[in-house]
Amino acid sequence: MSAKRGPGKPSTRPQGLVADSPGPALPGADPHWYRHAVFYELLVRGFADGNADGIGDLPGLIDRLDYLEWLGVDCLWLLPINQSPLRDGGYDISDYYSIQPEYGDEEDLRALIDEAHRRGMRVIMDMVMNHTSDQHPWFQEARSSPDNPKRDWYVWSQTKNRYTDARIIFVDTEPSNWTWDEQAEAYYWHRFFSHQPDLNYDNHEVRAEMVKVLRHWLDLGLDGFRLDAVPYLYEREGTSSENLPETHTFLATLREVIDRDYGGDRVLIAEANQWPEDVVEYFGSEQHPECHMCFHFPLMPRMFMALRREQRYPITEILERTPAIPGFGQWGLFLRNHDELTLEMVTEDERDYMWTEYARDPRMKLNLGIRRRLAPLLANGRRQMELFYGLLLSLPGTPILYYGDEIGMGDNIYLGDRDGVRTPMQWTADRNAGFSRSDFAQLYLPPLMDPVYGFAAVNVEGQQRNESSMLHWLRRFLAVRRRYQVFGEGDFEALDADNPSVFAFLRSNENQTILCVNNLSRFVQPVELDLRRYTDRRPVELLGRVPFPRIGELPYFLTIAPHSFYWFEISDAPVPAVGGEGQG
Amino acid sequence: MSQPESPADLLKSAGLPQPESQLMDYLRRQRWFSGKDREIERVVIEDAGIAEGEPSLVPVLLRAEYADSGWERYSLPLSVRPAANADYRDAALVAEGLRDGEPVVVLDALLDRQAAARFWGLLEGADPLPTLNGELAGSGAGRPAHDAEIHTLPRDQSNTMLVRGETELLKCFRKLEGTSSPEFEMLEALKDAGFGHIPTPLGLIEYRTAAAEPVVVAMLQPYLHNATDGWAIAMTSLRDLYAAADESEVEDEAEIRDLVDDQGSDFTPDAARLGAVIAEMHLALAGDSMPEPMRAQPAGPTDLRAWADDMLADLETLARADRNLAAKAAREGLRRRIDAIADLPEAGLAIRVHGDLHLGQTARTDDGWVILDFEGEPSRSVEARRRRASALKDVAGILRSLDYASAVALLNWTNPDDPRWTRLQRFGDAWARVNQEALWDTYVATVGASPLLPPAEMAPALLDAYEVQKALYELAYELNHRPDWAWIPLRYLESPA
Repeated sequence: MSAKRGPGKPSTRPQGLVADSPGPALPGADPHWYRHAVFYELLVRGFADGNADGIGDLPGLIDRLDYLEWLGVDCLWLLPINQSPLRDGGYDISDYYSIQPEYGDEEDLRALIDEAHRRGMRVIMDMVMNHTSDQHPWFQEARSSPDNPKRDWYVWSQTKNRYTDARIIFVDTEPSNWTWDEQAEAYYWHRFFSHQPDLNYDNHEVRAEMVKVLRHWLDLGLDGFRLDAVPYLYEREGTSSENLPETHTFLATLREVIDRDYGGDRVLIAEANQWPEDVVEYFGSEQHPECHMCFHFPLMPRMFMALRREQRYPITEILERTPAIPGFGQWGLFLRNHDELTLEMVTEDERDYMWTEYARDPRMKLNLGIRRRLAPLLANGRRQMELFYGLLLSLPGTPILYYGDEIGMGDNIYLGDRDGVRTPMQWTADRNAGFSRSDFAQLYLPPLMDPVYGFAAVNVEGQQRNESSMLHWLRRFLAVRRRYQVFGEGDFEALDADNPSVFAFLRSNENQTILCVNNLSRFVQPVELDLRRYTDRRPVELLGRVPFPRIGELPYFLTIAPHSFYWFEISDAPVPAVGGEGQG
Repeated sequence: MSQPESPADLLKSAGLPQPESQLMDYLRRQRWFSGKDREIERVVIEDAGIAEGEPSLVPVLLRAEYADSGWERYSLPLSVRPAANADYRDAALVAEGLRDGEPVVVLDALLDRQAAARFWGLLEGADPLPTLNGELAGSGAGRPAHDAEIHTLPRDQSNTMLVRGETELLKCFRKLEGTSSPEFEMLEALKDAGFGHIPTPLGLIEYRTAAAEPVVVAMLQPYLHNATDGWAIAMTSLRDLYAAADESEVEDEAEIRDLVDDQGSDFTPDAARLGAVIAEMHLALAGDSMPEPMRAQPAGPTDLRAWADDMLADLETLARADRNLAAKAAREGLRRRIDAIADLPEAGLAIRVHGDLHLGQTARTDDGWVILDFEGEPSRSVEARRRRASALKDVAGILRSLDYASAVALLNWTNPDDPRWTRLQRFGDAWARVNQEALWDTYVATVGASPLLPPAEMAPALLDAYEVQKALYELAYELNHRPDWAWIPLRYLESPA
């Protein structure tokens, strides 16, 4: 069934598209495309409403693909769209084979994928493998009787004294990882909310079923998945029941099947909110690959810390501790996403560090445990936002943008839980922010209307018209980044700088060397860099192609404006001398 | 070439017709030369050698003799190149001259990349370089030679640092001590004790003669990548604080303290971690793995009396100089603070200490804090620097340094004539106090039950006395070098204990 379309809003689905057509192929498919891509994370519910029912949907999103292409997005990441009672933002799936009806149906998704592919963009979606909703028919069957064939698809026990070494993740709401089910007359295992029973991956039927689920969506043309909560698939007595070898074996099998049957350019991204040493395990190895990408979780809060501290060490420390990854692998980097800045899912060490360094600072503490968007976290400072995007686009990894942050949208912390950062995308200054033509009261959440961040002040249309807007600025830098493959694949090396407020580093491969210099301070800063290995070459600034003075034997001196950054190519080519040089 | 009879003759034939005066001229221009304020009577070339090649490497050991009858010994390796086509930095040029009738340039070998590489080669299995009276020989690492370029680090005060491939650092000593370096023995002992927060020595170049103990002329260490010294980080924090103070209207003491606590570029987590590292260093220095002559001893009344006498001597020296009335005025109070320690019944352990610990001797790296420069206070004799002391001597040094940082950052921010000065100073004082407390708390917690420190009720008196001594040392230094800054230690010395 297709999403119900409201009056006056025609379907945007391209006419004449046959349901089982293979869809347009992406030009020159590069198996490592995700290493050079820019991802855009969006909530279908909040992006654009195609049928005026107050809820965003797939046809609405299709309508906005031109915008995303214009911005320079290469891959859309859709937050969960499978059918769900929505008790956990869709991370509680009740049918893996269907789409939440408000968003549309399979046909709509196929149309989205085709339209995206036609524009050279890809589409991945969230996939929750660890657990289902307790509303899922599998769980309903399983709880009905010990003899039910689905019984063993979940993890049951007559006692709570099993797997006691596994920590409780949602300590504020869940007293135990076991919850008693009256109907089943047994405890069931859940690592997250009690309405999310864990699937039993020791059961081969479950493993086979999940492979079938993934195949179903890949057959439709989807380019991959963001795999939710992967560290928790298995449980074993006497362990933390996280990051177990069985989990890695399963992921390696999954990868093998996908590479073999889907042409080798579909992508798996692991959500493992763990310390980098443990996260790298989810890449597997060159011989036994697992996921193509993993999120780098500790980096983001440390960027905020570095800005507060006006020094680079919070960032360089964590990068130094980030192990090497296989050649195909890539880190997923983000400034903000749909989750809060959390201390729940990091290791003991990192938690200690965060408590002593971060949570002690009242301005930072305020942001723990609640979800904020980028702009309010940076007090709406344009320079700070630019600096953060500069880091996001130049540190080793693939940048992932969160919808709305490209225009500096705000949040509404009074909406509670995750909804504060899930308000409607602000397209225009018109009614309902241009998000929907429904009645205001019908909207799934009210758009922001405050004088600073509200849609009258902050919207796509206004910023598209204004060349000096945040949106145009970001688009310009995404374009610059796209011209230099080295940003996606190059080595990273932090450069020595006597000034701790300056974070300078090199990104290099065999063809290109980029020098990035960032000033983390609110004051102008000088820095002397030792660039003697490039003696007689010239740094050329990337945005304006402005040649800087030749590198000589002496330390290379730069001054950097407050919260600013420069990107230079260390040019091999002889650069024409600028006026006056050569006379002195 | 026929065997020259004296080191000076060797230098004459190498291209320096008047080696004594030419080297004296060069010495006087160097930042690492510490005799600039003294009248040099003469320079004596003690030893020299020559390794022919392109360029030739000419190690030189010389003695600067002063009119006040003191003397210092320096290591000055030279390189000699044909003047034609020679490409060198002006700063490296010692003299131009003739060798066998051909024009040559004589350069400071440590500023001449190829000569520096040959010097470095002594650590990599090259034969010892003979001099007329002895030899230069490498020991230790025996690392394979590699061809990464060698650079001289800019901005060095007392030594010359060479870096190769961003991985190794060769610290070339200029002023030489009569015996092996106190720094090297400290680093070796700390390494053996398993203390990791140091640039562990990897090898040595020594000057050896039949007559005396070997003298260290260069030490190979790992290069600390992405490091900044603690002073620079403290300055960053204070800059942020004074900016915030200027924007706030806070006046009340408690509110000032809150503002410091809530400050964005808070230094306290770093101060706390530094306190833990210093404590670990002292526990290592107090441990059983120390070689016999460096081993910890219980500190009793005799030690306390000796320490107090040392401090009083410093006080008297300063008072005699009589260059500042304020020092005199405070003297009696200071004497009482020092004398207080002589009456303590016990003082924990007497150990070898860092001796000159301040923020500039610490480096923040991606692996945490590293402690540098174990040479001790340069103006004291090697013997005095080797004397055992309470670990609190180092703690006093770093606590004083935090106070200094707040004052110097304020001088960077404005000047004492500014009407804002007194108010801002209260913020700086609060910053110093908060960070001193953070450092002290983790220091004490890390030391734990070890007998290192005096009993808790006695520790403050000893710490206070060491702080006084450190401030006297600072005052003497400032009166000689930066009289405008003398108020910084004076302000401390004049404040009640």
